[in-house]
Amino acid sequence: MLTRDLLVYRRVKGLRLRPTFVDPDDDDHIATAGALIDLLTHGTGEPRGAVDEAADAICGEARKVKVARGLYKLLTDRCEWDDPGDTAMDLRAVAFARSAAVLRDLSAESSLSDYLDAVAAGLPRPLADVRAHLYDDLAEHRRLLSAKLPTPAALLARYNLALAQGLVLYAGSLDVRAASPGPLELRKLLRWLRFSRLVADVRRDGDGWHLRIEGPAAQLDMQKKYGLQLATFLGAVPVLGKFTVEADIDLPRQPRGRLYLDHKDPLKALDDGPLGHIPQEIELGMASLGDARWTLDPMPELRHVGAAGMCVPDFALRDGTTGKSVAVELFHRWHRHALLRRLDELAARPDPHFLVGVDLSLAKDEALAARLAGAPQVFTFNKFPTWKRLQPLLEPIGSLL
Amino acid sequence: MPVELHFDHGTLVVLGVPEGDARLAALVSLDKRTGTHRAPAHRYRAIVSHLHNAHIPYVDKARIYDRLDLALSGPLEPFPHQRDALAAWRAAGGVGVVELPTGAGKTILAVLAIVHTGRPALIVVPTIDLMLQWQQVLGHWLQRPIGMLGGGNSEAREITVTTYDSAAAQTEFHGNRHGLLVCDECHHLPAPAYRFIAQGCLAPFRLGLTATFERPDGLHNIAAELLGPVCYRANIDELEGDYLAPYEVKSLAVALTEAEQARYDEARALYIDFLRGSGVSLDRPGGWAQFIAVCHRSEDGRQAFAAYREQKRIAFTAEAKIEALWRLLLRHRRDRILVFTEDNDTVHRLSRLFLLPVITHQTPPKERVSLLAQFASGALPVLLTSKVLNEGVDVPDANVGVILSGSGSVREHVQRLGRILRKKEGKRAILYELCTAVAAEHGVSERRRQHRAYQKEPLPRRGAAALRPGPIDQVPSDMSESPGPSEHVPSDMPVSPPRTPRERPDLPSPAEGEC
Repeated sequence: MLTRDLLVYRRVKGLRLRPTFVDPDDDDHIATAGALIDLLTHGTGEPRGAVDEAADAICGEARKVKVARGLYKLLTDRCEWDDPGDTAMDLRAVAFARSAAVLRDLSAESSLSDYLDAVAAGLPRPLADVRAHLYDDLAEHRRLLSAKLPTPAALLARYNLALAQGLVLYAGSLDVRAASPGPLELRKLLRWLRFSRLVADVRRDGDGWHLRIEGPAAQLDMQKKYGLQLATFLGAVPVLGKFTVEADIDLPRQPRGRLYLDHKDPLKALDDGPLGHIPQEIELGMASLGDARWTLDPMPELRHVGAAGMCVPDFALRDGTTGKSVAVELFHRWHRHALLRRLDELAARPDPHFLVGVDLSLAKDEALAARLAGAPQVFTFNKFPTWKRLQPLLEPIGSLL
Repeated sequence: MPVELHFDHGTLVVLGVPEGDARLAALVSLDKRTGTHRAPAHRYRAIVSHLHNAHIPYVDKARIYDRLDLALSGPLEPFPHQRDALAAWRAAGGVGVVELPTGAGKTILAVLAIVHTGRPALIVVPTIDLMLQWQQVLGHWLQRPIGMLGGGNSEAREITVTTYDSAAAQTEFHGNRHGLLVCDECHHLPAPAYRFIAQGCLAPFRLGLTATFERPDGLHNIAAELLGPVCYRANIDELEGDYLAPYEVKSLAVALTEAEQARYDEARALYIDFLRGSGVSLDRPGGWAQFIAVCHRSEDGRQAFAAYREQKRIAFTAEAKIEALWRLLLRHRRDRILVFTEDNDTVHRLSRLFLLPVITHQTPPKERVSLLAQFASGALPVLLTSKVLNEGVDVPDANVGVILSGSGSVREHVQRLGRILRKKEGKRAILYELCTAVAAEHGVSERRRQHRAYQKEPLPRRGAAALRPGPIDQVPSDMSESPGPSEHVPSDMPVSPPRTPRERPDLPSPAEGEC
């Protein structure tokens, strides 16, 4: 992340905040990023103070000094510095024991020179040498051990995201709008929501989605800030493809501003790992449903369950007459713990429009079977739910919709 | 279906709120995002009390602690003020703030409160040194392992000590593990970054401890809201002699060298000119923040701000202070001396010059423990520090304090005085304040002495010869000579020429009470 002094942004018409993104193809920025990466690549074993000083020189020559300093900050976040060991501490212990002994035995007429002469006489090294190395374990003396360094292009991309994240650190909530997101992208985003310990008011907006992201205590009169969590979450938003982000920003000692971002900004998601997969049955719209009333919705809305649980159902069944849905969440044999938690949550806070599918291999567990028998919303399946299993549960729910 | 209480990241989620229950509805609010009722965790006690009193069945899944069987490891006869404070806190229902001077035994009071409460307790302290100290005291009296969170420690136990910084980050995870929350130096709690510690913790029992509860910004009301109001207070002069060491405070004026004075005058003129031209008044509330903002809007402003810092630095690190410090070290070489500075650079510079030990926030934990132990045993007669020993750390043998530089904070000054006040047979404490005769430090010194601890009648109490801080003393006679520059002064410390305090028509001489 970038500290506030390293943020570069514009204020448009007094309110609108726009990070001053860098062009990732700009030769000057690429050269600066390359020089800083090179410095750290060859800086292994060098003390932090020397590395910082060399970086200062590179930053000072850059066309945009603040951008260069920001790039360096992001790089040093990826560095590991050595443990200073006990050498300096041992030297201090010897020096301080000696000075204590000398001080106590001084006469009232002694001068500072007398004192220092007497101390120096009992030191293992010359006084000047002791002074020079007395605090060798302070941060500036620690040596570079290793660094996980990106390419210049990746660093510039990370810098652009960090500029936006640096402003979001001062936000209380995020409004994310996505036009026609893919189900896997949306699922991944919502998973990040849970990782970030945030809650969301999720609404469908035609084909699009609107998510208002906040911390649990945000609606209460509490001082808790969620800036770091929101900034972390922002790192996942670019997976959506097409999106807009808006947030009110309260920078210290500045008038409030509103941040606007969208997919045209040079933002790349932090997590570019695989999105996962959707079972073929869902992709095919569960053609085997064979029922005119119910259609399969592969992108059901986020559901809050129990006191603080959150789930992204695997799919939903939409009633053609009312347009309302019944959510279905599937638990496989490796989901025992999650299933128990969900059953507890449904017991504490019943949700009549929520069905729980349990893989037969999991349902064989004797202790679990007793719990399942007492839960009316549960059905079992083998590999994937069949309409035959779902229909008996849907009929009574359908009459309530 | 019974009401269910859950803890969710510093909030309480209440499921099954009965319709028509106005009292409960006033304590919670509907969270439309999740469709549940939610409340700040600190309302746990009020919510449970209501459910209990109204005979509403409920399942408490929020708190995850049980009662503890706690006993003291040995006989402990509290001082009268400790006994009275505990009684007042109990009478207040196990909530509230106790305001006692440093050295009056707040830690022991907390031990008694923990045993009385019989619940897992979280103790929040400002510094790592204090955390280590609390762990030792609690471990001794409670005879059980004490957890620590912060400063590289991450072991949570039923009785755990943590720092404000760590607690602020951890409350959303462990805010339901303790029945008693103890906030040491609780005047820190109202800081925006720290309030959540008490807001997000459900502990029904709360104890705030401080020597200086009231804050100039009035935010102590927030601490009172979250911990309970002040339930007991004793002042420093009420305990002096009987429960605190008798003490005296001496302010010593020193002069800048000619070169320092010239640099000081130039920097101060630049800063004052800009300040006057900006129209900002530092006397008005928010004036300082306004000045900072104005400074950062132009190059002139940035230069003025740099000049402000430079004149302050010159005043705080004057050559004559180093010489005066040496004289004090020599005079009290067989005492236990704490030297306070405003910043780490100065303290490291002094350490290199005198080869004396330092404790700062950068000092490794095991070295801190060792240095404090050696200081306590007398193996080390002097400790230099910037701010980390300002608060709470128990150094009972320290009897001399030297303030080389500091902020204008009354609280900081009182806390520093408190470091040397812990009672010991035959002990008489003395606090020196070294002050340059220039406006930059004069105002700071004046501000920080606005406390009754410094405004007693100049009469000794309980037989102690006490010099009171009315007129400022000159540097004592054994310090009056201007020693020549030491050949041992490192090259990064400018060698001082023989000094002659400059005649300054706009400032009274130090002897007239300038500082």
